[in-house]
Amino acid sequence: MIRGIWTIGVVLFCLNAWAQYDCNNYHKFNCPRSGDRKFNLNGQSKSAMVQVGVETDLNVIVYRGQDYRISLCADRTVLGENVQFQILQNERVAKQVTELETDYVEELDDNGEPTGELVEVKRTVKKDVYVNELKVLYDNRQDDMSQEIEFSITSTKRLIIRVLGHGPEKVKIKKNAEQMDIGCVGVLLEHMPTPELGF
Amino acid sequence: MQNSPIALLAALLFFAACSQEKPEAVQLQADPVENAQRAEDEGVAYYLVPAPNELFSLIEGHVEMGQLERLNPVENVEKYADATHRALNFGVFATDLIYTSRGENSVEVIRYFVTVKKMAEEMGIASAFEDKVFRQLEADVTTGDSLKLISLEAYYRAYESLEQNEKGTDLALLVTGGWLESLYMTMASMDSFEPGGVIEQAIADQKYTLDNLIELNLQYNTSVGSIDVLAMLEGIRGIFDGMDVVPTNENTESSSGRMILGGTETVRMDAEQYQDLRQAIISARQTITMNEEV
Repeated sequence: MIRGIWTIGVVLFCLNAWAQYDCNNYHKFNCPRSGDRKFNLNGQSKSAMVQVGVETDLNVIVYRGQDYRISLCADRTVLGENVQFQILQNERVAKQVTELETDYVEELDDNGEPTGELVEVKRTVKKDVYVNELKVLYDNRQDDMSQEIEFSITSTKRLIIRVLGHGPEKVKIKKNAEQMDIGCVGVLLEHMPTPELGF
Repeated sequence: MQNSPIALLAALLFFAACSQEKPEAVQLQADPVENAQRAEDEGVAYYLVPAPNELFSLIEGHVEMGQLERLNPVENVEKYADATHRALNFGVFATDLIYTSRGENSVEVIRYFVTVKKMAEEMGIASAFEDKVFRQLEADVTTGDSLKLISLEAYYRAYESLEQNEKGTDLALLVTGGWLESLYMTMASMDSFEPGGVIEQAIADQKYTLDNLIELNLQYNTSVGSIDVLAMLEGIRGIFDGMDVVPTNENTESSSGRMILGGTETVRMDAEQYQDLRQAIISARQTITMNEEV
């Protein structure tokens, strides 16, 4: 009898551990949908395995003229009661940099004739390089750790939804038990055309 | 001895669970977010691209969306023997399916659905297209909204199935083919160029989508197949990079009453840039579909 209970316990433990490594569609079954039925499920919704203390970025595109709702759901026993999340704008912008380039030219003698030797000539050139500039647009630490947000978009943007789990407050996680600090996070994205209010 | 089968099952499950591949190990960070750049450098990043229906939704009502002769003919499916062409055109046909579902020609919808389903079988994700879905399609062919939903469901299922089966390269190519086709069909629907018009703006805004698409292709290194997809996309990005992003003061309040997130910078595209982009998209689409006609 005891052996049976032990066996079932092991099975349940293993199934739980297994489930933690398979987060597919976690958002579909765990993140609360909006009560407003005009919101449609957005295909950029995603679930991922997240490690405590490690930032995970979801890069999404939001279109102008649309309202969006983002809601989070997470394995609270592993990642903590409320997951920290930020929304950042990611813009690829050109920056001009000055670089030193080396050319090799034929050396000329006093009469202007080539000597057959090559000499180094250094010159500065200005070039455009592209870098990603990030700007924080929302931080749920300034919003009572809210796990959802609704907003309008008036110009198309490339956003990063940055998620960070701090772990449960009162449980000290051992550093050598990394498998216990990985849990599922779901990011549910919903959208609808920005509705016009009034008559 | 009575418990042996259970114990064996438990042992098998234990090893299965404990041998699951762990996500890429990343160093723990004790402090909360200090600066915005850090996760890009040290964390884990996923790049997503809106499904083609989102672009079609933006332009619907502003253009005639009945350019069925511009779709990639389903007969072409036999041409795509190599893995790169097959995955790219899987995205093209899935997008054509979404496009046709917005019209009234249900026969075309079924033809494209059957083609997408066939390609899914060839790519080893047949389970994504259970018969139940197809039966639902047959039952609902007269209902426009059902067709839209089922076509979109087919796209999502293909996407999720490739993701779950860890076919990352095929996934990146599917999304790339879908993006190119949605942009191609949008441009094919236009009669003329109107600076700042709704459709023109939706096209210019693809600048941002392309950035994510390139990152996705970089993650799965799609430059090594029969087409250098990354080089193709970088060529298109060169045109978008030439477009100015200017701040505008319009729409400082949302008509829905929700907060407006971020500023109102707008990508500006002129007629010459539009023509360059159009040529680049036509050329890329010809390369992937192997179609001669434009």
